[in-house]
Amino acid sequence: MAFDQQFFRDFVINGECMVYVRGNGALGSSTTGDPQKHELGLTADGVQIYPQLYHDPVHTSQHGDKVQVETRWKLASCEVHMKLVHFNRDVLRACIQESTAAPLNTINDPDSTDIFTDGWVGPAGSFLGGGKQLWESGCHYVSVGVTSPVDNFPWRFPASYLMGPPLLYPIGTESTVAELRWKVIPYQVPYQANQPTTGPFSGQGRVRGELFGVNGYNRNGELLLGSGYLVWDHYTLTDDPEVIGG
Amino acid sequence: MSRDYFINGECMVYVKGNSSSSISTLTELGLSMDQVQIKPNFRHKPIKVDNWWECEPEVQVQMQNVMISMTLVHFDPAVLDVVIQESMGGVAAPGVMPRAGTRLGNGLARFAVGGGKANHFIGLNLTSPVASKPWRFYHCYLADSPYNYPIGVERSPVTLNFKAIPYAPDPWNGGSGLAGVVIYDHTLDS
Repeated sequence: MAFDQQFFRDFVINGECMVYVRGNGALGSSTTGDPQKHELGLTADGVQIYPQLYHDPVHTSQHGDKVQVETRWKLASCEVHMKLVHFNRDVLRACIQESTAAPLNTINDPDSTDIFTDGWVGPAGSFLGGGKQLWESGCHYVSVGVTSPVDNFPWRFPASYLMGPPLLYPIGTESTVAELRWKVIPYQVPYQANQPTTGPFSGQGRVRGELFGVNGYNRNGELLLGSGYLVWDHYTLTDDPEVIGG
Repeated sequence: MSRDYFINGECMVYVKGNSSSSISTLTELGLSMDQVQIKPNFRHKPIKVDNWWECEPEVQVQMQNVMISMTLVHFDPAVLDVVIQESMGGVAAPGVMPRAGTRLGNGLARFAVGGGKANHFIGLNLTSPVASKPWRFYHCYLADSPYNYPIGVERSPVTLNFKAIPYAPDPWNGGSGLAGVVIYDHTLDS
């Protein structure tokens, strides 16, 4: 970080959090197959973001087994907790469906008019990414965006899935407050030997797994960073699949 | 502006409800025995900083709601019944219970009806013939201990407790949240 900018202390007030999601499959267009962005909803008491940083200590016998001499960085994930109180139930169902790698159509109930298959779960061992680019058909990861209208510091979690417990959906006479717990990982597609022909990096030569410019490359194949994996950033979750960085 | 005694004048209480109610137009509820009490409730949430210990270096503020209390002495009991019904979620008659958890706004605009539902909030209007500063509370309902209805050989002064809240059909409000949502203003409904 360059400290030639002025940074000021102040109370950090994010403002009203609208939670957006974006993905394909149950969240995508049934006519074009394109990924779509949806409003998921408003929370009862804000959004809790828990980055999980993993380090491994390195010990030597000279220092004994208690105090480490060095530390190894072992990547990070993130958890995002929220309690939705004013939400789109169908969008939530679609998120559950994608997080369970559920089939897209009601293939087990062809007479049903219900287009969502939350409650049906995919085969055990299914990959959520499946070697696909984010938002590509077959990739079940959901991108989650949280707005920041007062602080103008939004959060975007590109590769997320709902995990439980808790995934709580209380029903009764009171307004349902759905308690969600998202897991966010630095997802990347495997190394591709040939030019990808689909997704945001199609036709860009031999590139390593790329996602929003991770591994140092942006969507034009230009070097951005020395290295890195993206778990979250502070761009707005947009509608345009080709716009990286909001 | 200059200092003077503030005299509101004779206050007629009007109410207005959704288009499917029998108070869909501005309707006289009645005259109060004494002054109508208007009590806004602010909510100030302090931000705690250890350097300041228990003092509040900053607060975040919201006008949470407004309580309007009155004792009606010359009123229309039929209109009062409709007000009670609407405050209960649009029940068929006073004393009838709605489904548990019934909403008042139903995500609809003020006075709107749609999809088999209605916005049951009441518009409460207080005239101001002397000071010319009437009050209009956009979304009210009889709340808490809503009314005290004494009955006997004497005339019944009925005490009502209205609560006005900052309701919006969509709490996201296009990204503005609570900003711009009106609890009250000084223009009467028509």
